[in-house]
Amino acid sequence: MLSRRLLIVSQSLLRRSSPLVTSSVSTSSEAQVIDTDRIQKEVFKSISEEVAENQRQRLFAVVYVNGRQWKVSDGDLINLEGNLPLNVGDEIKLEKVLMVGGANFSLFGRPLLDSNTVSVDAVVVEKKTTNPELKYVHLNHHQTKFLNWKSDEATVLRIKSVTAKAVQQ
Amino acid sequence: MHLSTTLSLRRILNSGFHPFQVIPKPDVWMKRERLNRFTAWQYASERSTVKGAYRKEDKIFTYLSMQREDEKKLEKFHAEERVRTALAEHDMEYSKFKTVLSQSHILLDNICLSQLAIYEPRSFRSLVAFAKELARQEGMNVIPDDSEFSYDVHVDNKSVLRKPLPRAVEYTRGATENHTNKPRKLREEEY
Repeated sequence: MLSRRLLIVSQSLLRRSSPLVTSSVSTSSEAQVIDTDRIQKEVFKSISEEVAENQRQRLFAVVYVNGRQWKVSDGDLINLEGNLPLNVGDEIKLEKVLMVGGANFSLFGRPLLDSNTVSVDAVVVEKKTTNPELKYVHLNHHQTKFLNWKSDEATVLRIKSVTAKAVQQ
Repeated sequence: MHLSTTLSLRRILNSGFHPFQVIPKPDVWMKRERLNRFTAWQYASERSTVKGAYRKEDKIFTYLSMQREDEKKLEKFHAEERVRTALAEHDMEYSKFKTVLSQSHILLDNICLSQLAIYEPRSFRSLVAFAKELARQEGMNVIPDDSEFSYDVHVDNKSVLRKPLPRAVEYTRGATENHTNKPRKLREEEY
């Protein structure tokens, strides 16, 4: 638990060669300059190892699809609003990945992660209409009622896999 | 020839109905079925009488409609409440947390944050630790984590924090301007 680290990926942060100022959260002691590059490399390396392991590991990702963010993992079904230009059986890759996490790490994009590093593959499972919902207007004292059953179209995706390659070092 | 009136014939002869009783209306079965679809699970007069059932159906429809209209707003509201609660657990303030996230260009919305807080508590905690450290460096008052359980956070506010990204414009329904006041008359040179 204690060794768990958080890493915020950013190009500017990665390229920065000067040591960053840091201090621990728990104490209000003076900030001290430490070798941030070394720590970054360490963290990157540990995440890469974590991701590359062939053991059973399950990642989750937050993806932005169709105007909405979804937290997805392997085998999830997500229900997108509307009749999207996709056919049943199409395989798509969700490229707007906001974060990836696993048992021992979480990577946050600012705002997006590199789409080469993380891949979220999905299949279109179903195109359907949603359950009918009601639009009901009752005008009191007018003996007037409007009853409309509203139904929308939806596209259902199944997330095939959330995988991450070795992160940039 | 209109014989019915002169012959006092009110009904077709040899019809299945009684000549001098009220003709039954078209069958109500279909309507009652439609009504019972929603009121069969109600109690007392709302189930056993027609009038009561109609009153109840009206109410049910009204509430269903309200629910449909409010659903999106409620989702956002509940997500925010959940994030606030989760942050309170980590001794962090919502406004500070959101400020730091927006300044560091992490664009997770409340719905996702609440899901993280519920289903991925360790990720959420690390994010809070990050936000706390940055908030502390920015000079905000934050309650530090217990040193025994706190994460090592190596960040520097100067390199991480930036101007927040512009927010998406939401075009609300209706006129943009208030058109109740008439526009002023054009002057001659303005024609």
